[in-house]
Amino acid sequence: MTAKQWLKRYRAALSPLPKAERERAAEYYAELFADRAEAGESEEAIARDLGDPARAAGALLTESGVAAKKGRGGSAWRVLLAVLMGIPACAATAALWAVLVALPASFVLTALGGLGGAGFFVWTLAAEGFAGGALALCGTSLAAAGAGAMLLVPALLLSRLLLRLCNRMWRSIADFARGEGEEVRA
Amino acid sequence: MDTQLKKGLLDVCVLSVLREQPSYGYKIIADMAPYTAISESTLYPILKRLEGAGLVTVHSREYNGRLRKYYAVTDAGLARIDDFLEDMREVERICALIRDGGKQ
Repeated sequence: MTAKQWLKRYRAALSPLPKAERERAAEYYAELFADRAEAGESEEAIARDLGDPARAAGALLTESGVAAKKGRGGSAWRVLLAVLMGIPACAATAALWAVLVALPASFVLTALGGLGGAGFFVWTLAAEGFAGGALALCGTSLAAAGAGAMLLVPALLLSRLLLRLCNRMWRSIADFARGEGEEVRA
Repeated sequence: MDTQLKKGLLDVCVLSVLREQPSYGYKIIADMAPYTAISESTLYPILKRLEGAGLVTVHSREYNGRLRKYYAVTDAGLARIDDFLEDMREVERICALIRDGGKQ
């Protein structure tokens, strides 16, 4: 196990503690890794010697009067509440997905429409002969196509942002159902 | 040795090591090694407890491009060592009683 992996597991096992305390404790071990590495020990050997990160965390949790984290099962009312929260969240998610599809689709269609218009006027130009108005219309269509293509990128970025917000919302509900982020006092 | 007894002893051992000069985790363990074995995971809760009780203070100092925490004993910490030694003198008297059954 590398120092990074050991510290990651240690931090995870300390999750019942406030973040600042968790980080302070992790700094202590990071410092030990650095000092022992400077004394010539390998990261793997140090990690082996420090032992199970969960056990090291347990010693601190006991000292802090905090019980080690309980199983991940949330209580029944939490799950029920999460399901109730899930109903409006489902509606919001569906709406966001609709926007996600509709936004780029509309710009793709705008671009295609512009190109189609330009093609049509090139065809009429060939069939009907040169006409200033037709040429101007062809230019306008091409401008529309360009605008559509340019707007596609911000639309995709906006969609990605909406999707991430949506994911975060679901994660929060799931965390709530599991009762995570709460301190378990012994 | 009794866990509770060792816990109390280790607290004072750490304070005694720090009495010489402010020190850091790795060195505290190394300085204590000839007298008693203490693991890294045992030391941190002790340091935290001593700091919480105002018996040590913590300062970060730069070392080799990284920060290292140095622990220093406070006046209250020094008083704690004296109290402990005083308690031990009483324990010695009690031990004499236990050993000799009160016959001088």
